[in-house]
Amino acid sequence: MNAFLESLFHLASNSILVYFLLINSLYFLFVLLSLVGIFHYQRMTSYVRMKEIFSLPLAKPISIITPAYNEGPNILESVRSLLALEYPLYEVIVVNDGSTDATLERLVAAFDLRKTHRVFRKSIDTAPVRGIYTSPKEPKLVVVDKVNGKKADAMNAGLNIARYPLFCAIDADSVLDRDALLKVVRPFHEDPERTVGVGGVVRLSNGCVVKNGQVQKIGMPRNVLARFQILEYLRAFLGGRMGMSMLNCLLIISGAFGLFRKDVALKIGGYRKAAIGEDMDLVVRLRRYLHEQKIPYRITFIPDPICWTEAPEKIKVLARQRNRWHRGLVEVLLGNLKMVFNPRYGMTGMLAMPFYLFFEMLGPLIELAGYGMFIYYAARGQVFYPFAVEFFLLAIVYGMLLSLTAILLEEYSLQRYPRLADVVVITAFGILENLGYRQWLSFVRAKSFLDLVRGHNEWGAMEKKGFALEKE
Amino acid sequence: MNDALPSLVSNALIFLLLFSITLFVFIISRRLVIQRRDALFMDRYLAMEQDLLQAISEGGRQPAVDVARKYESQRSVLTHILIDFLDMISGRGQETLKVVFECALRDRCLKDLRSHFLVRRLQATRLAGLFSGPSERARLVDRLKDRPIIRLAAVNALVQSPDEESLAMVFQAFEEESCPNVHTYTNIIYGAGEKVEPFVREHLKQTRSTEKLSLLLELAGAIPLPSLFPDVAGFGGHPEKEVRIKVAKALGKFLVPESYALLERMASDKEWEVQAQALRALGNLKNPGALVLLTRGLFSPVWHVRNNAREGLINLGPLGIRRLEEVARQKSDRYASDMASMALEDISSAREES
Repeated sequence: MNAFLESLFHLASNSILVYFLLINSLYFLFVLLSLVGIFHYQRMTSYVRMKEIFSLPLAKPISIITPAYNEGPNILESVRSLLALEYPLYEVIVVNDGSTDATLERLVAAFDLRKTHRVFRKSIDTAPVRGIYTSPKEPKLVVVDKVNGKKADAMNAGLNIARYPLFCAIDADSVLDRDALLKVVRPFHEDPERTVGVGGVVRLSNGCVVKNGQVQKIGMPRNVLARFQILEYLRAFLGGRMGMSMLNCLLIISGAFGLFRKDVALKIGGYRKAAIGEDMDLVVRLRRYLHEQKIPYRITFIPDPICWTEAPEKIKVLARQRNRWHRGLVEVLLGNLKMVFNPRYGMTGMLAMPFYLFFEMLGPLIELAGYGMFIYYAARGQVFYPFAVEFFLLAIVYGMLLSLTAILLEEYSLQRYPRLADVVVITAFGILENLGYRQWLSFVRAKSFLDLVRGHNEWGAMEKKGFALEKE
Repeated sequence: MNDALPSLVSNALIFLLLFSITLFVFIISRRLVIQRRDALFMDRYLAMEQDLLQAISEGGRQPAVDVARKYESQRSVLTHILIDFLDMISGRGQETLKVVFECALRDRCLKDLRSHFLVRRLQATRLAGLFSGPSERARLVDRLKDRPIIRLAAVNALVQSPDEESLAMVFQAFEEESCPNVHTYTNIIYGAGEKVEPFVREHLKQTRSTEKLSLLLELAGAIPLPSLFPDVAGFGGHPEKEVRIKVAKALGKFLVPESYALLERMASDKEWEVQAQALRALGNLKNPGALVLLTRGLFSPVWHVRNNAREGLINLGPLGIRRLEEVARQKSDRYASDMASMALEDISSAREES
């Protein structure tokens, strides 16, 4: 029996090595594809005048939907940012999802909101709407006050109210670059029949100066956790999503900033009310529906429209956020297992879904299993330390290489961090994240399985510092 | 395999470490090079800006030619500044920009139009669209046979100086285009304005594709081209719903009184989408005769029809508003009453605003 267990452990440890090689190679592949994609995108959009869109007769109007739950500190700055966007025709729908703070009161006071009897078509069932407010000062603004029903429900309420054929989902703690809509809508004008969803880059506003609803000065946050997250966001958006978009199998368009066709979203019933990760859930269900209906489509990512969002700077809040993200991921993948390795769903079924299932979803568990096995062998005195140290270093260097390629992508696409010292700091944090932060994140993500089994469904509220409080 | 593993890991570690270090050095050096290049670019840009502003304020061809000669070796900066100025300057100043382009960049641009590289062809087509005149038309027309993205850029370029021949080519390309790109054509062709009228008329007769027909009808309405009323009205009984919707939409923009009878019929179409569009158009016509139809629309079971009837009644003016007040007071249909109340509220807040 012991011999059997030994060989089982041996097999498991070898499998973990192969897994390690595979996951890093795939990440590297995505990064390489992203490099090609970003380079190509930049050259293809050179000499394009974004404001051309103002002269188009069929420029598609956009409904921006911003669900807000206890967003008091940020809400005014965010709404002002949205009202100041450059786009020919759009409306801003803020859905106050039963906030218990002064979100609604602040909006009412700042924009002189008045309750209206606006009638809307209830295409999707939502928690009751208490009132719809409009502003004589800002005709583009509509505020929906409703009973709390979580983010997906708030988005659906916004979809019911939305008047325009495209809707843009934006988090209330985010601000958009002024030309972000002009950029993100381009695929809908270039390929209007097939384009169903477009995502842009989400970056962290921590350390930046936000004034009058715009990021005025980009800087590096002082908070260590925020610095780790800068790198994570760069890897996720410029590396992962761009790469997957190149392979036409992008599964996530961030809830913080994504543009979709409303008619298709309504056909699948809008956002799934119970979804924890409503953004990924929407994209996966869109892909599933469009593949099953054999409708040619594109869901794509473009690397230059920027949305700025505030990252958690406290360890507890970050843990809650990541726990929720992972629960959302697990829920979406398990809910769509039918798509995994199913050629009917094209690259989505053959690459993206298996990748997310085996590497993103199970990754933390396998990583922790690896640490567990190391402890087991160490306790039995069976660790060949020179090899173990080399392997650990290899993991760090591989991680660092991926971080460096993400930084290279940032340099090619945006180059938003103006100081050379910032690049050095990000690189240093690319090394440091392997010494504790990464392991802690794996633990948090692995714990989410337990929470999911226990039926913990809480949203994991963020504590907001607020843009306005950022010191110059 | 296990014996080979440690040495494999060692080698991989060394390789990846060297690779990472090289990459880091590359990133830093690239940043330094780019910073220096940007500084140089900015210096040149500022110098060029001064001279270009001078040339624009002096007017005439010679100062522009002088600027072009002085900076023709700095093509990249010159291109950027010309594009930036094109956004900022209107009127005669644009002629100066075009002269600078013609003297310093035109030859290269025309050469790039035939380049093997897609990106170069695309950039050259866009540049030609922004600055070139009728003399480059033939070369741009050649690009209509290129890949879709370049075709679109070429169409965009051609409608910047729309003469009859260019427009004929553009519409020919539109007719031959596969469906996914036709919306974009419509957007671009719109820029040519009323000049497209004979071509729209001709292609309304020719086109076989429902989608293209719908787009031509939409285009006729968007510009608008009311002289096409008889041609557009001819499609009022088309078997495809999409076409009928676009007919109603176009008629709502033409504002031709003779369209009333057709719109009246369309307001009773079997498809609610057509009804909705026809009601909105009837409101735009401001014909008091539409009051009954619009009121009936307000009681429709379909939200969109009610909504458009509301807009139609608002557009009818005092007569429509009085009817909205009556409907708001009635209790038999809550949905109609809500819609009418919302309309009245919109009117009162619009009054407050003004």
